[in-house]
Amino acid sequence: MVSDIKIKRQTAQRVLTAGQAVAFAIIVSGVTFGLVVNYHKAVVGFIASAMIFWIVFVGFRIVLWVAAKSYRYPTTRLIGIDSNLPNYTILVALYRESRVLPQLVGSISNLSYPKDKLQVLLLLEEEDEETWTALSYINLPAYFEIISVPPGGPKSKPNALNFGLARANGKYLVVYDAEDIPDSDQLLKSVATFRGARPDVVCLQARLAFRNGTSSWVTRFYWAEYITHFEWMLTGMATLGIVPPLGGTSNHFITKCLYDVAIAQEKLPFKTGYIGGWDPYNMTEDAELAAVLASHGYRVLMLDSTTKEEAPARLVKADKQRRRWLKGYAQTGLVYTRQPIRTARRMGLKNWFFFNLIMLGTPISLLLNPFFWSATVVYFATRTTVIEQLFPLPLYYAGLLLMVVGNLVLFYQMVAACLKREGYGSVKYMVLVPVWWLFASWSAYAMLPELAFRPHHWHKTEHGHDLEKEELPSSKQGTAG
Amino acid sequence: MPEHVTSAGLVPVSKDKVVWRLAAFASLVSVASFYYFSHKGVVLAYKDAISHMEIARRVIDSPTTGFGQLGGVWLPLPHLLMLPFIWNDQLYYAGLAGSLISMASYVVTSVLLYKIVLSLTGKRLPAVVSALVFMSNPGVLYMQSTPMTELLLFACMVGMVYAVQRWIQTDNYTYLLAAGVAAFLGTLTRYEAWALLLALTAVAVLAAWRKGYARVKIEGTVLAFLFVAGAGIVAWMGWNLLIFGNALNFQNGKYAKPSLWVGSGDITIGHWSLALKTYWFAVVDNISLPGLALLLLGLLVMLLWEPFSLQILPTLSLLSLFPFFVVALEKGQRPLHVTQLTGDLYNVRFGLLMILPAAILSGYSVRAFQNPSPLRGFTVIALAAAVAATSVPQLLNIDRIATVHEPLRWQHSTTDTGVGAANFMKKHYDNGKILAQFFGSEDVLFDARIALANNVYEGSYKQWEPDIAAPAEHHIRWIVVRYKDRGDELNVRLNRTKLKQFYSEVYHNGQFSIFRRT
Repeated sequence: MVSDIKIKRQTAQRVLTAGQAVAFAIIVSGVTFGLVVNYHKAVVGFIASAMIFWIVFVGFRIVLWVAAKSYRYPTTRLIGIDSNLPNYTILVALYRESRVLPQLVGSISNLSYPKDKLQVLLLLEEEDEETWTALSYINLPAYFEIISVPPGGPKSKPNALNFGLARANGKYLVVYDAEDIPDSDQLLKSVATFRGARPDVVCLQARLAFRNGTSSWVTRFYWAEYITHFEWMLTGMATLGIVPPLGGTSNHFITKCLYDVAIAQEKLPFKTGYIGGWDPYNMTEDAELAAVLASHGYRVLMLDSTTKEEAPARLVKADKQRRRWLKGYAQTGLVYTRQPIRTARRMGLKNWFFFNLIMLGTPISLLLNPFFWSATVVYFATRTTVIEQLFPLPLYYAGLLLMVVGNLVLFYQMVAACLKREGYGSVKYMVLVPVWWLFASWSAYAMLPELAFRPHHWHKTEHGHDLEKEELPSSKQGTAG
Repeated sequence: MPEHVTSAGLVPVSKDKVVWRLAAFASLVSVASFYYFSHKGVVLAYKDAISHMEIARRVIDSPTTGFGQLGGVWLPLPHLLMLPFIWNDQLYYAGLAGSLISMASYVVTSVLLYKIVLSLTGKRLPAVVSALVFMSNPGVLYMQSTPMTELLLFACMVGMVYAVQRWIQTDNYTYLLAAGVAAFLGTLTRYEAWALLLALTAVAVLAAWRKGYARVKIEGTVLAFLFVAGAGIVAWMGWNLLIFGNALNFQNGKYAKPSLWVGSGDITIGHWSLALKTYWFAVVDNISLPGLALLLLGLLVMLLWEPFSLQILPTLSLLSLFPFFVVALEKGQRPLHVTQLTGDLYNVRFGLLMILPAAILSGYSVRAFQNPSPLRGFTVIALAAAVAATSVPQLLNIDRIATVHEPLRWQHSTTDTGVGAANFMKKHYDNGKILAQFFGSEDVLFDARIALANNVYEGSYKQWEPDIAAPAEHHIRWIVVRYKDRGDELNVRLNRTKLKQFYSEVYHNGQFSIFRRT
């Protein structure tokens, strides 16, 4: 399947275009002018806009939850291992991952797929001595290759993946993270699903789940949040025909299509041995790629298979990961609103609107939340008329409705996630959800200066600190020396 | 064998087409019933029926419109549900704006009772009997024709019971969350649902334990249920805190039920046996002695048939409302009078609640004669005869229906001539603001067909207090006072000397005085 559409794909190398900067300046000036001329009306106008945004944003999430109930994973007849299976490339970008290397080799070795059809590319930064050293102590199977990623480009995962893509020889390709443990039959399911799917289906997203969901209160929230995201949000979007933003790992592609949608060489940091399948400047290159595929008329389906990951167990580490995600969402949203009419025409208005609602709406909602929570607390505590005057009756009721219904529904979603995956011990922790949301808001605010001054800085999430006592796959090759 | 019947002869609950036919039949009965009681002129016989609609109406038609008008004593869901209809004058004055909620609830309750018994027995006949016992009760037929809140409460309660029962039967957690949603709605409808929630929580814990759940699973499952189910109670307390600055205003506030409605001399207070007898007679008045006998028969059959079964626990939890009422009467938390003990009737409809377990257990009793047998035929005929013998005479002479008799008797005996005051206002009202307390004078403006936007009352935000202090200065043109009632704030707080300066009394009867600005 080759798309006939040739699109000049944009990158997040610049955060804002000149046009966006002007628009942003006009908005800021307008708000400032409004505050000076009529403070009260300007604030009420801001609150009204926020309410409208929230009704759409929360309403969309509720609709997705309902829609997800009717999602049916593509039915596939699981195929056996035979000589007709195509070559499959696995890309794993590594950076300071010495702790999890044995587990990585083990989990890939456990995959049910003919090893002579597998190409595993480990992508290492040239200066990452720690991982190079660790690798030198492991006897890698023959189908593993190590690719050195030279300095000069942004030190990001998509940058490394692009080096891998240039060397991929599989008909299909999947991206895994270093700490991933995919279901052993995931590749076979993927091939079967691709074979049975419509020709415009070029990407499959497997479910992601955390295996250390009970290590700390932080991982309990991560765990529940992933269930809501992958089992309800993404499947809901798939049900409604809306392009689901891909998760960072376990995306299976038809390799050729990544070449078709690649970024033009002149926009990339490297000119040779490098294919711009992923935007190297984008911190959520996966989500951005989903929009690219939609723009080319391709479709993404959910794959009925799970990859287990490791969640950051401490708030400090979680904060960095979250900042990166939020920065990436903001970058992606800004890229896709540079030429809104043109982009909407390519993606389809529905896809474009809801994709950007997620990309820009997520950080915006987190930035707004503390204001309104503070106003609620202050009002309950003081009954000040200042706040009363800022909420004319329709806004007051809309706000009340959102506070009660919106927050309750999102809270119940987390509770239902716990029950769905039998995380009964995590249910009681869900009463702390306001604390979790506050933490997310903190990360959103911390992300803002980074977006402005360090837009391409990739916060590395360290893995292997929270390996549970459960038996994990380990390298059958063992360690050398 | 029909496609929708399993090999064991049991009807799967989810695929049963009878549900739709039953819903259609219940709808027809509901409409016919409303028409009948409307024709008899008793749809708004209860003062509370008008009050409920006025509360909803004031949200959109008041000097200070908004949800604050929902107040903090009566739970808000019935009034919120009336909002789509309450704006329409015809629906409002006919009572239909409120009755529609009761009528829809009647249909939902009938269907859910059917489904409860169907999923308990797997048989249609007991399920149909159960629904019919409920549907044909004269008290139910009357209450479903009024804007009162009983039927909405019934619908929420059987929703709670049905969903918990299905969770017990299927182990599917979504049923438990659905039960939580029903409880959420129920606890925002009537305080009786709070008691049922308590009982069902105990059932959930017991069932989870008996199912062999690990401790952590019991904890997680029950907590998840409570997070949903208890949110209504928490939200109500938050609302009371927001509006009145007191989270427990509904219990101990100025207009809270116990403080207003229960007289200190009520015979049940401090007397368990009288409390027990009072509720017993209230139940008999509502579901009749044959109905009570069927309830007990069904209970016996259920306990003999499956004494250790978990699936019967939700139904049995409905019976816990009997002791709940007895305790509430003994503690003075609920006022209830029956003619057998006090010679009068007050809130006799509280006994109607027992129609829910009576309906389920009556239907269940048919299970004892499952296979075609002369006994089963006899049972069904006996049931039909019992229902006909008790219902038909009451429906032909509605004064024999306890829930109708109470307001009619009150209307005939009282010296409260709100009708006279309303007639006067209807004839002489010539615009202007009316200062009148809502509590106790609900029907005056309603019967006079005067827009509530003109009425400054105890819920008029930042107007009531200043207007009492200086009505003339605040352009009050009319003042309606119940001059014998110490519960009427106007009667207690208006400065009579000042009043005579600016107002003259234009109407006076045994209860009301009406003043007009001179």
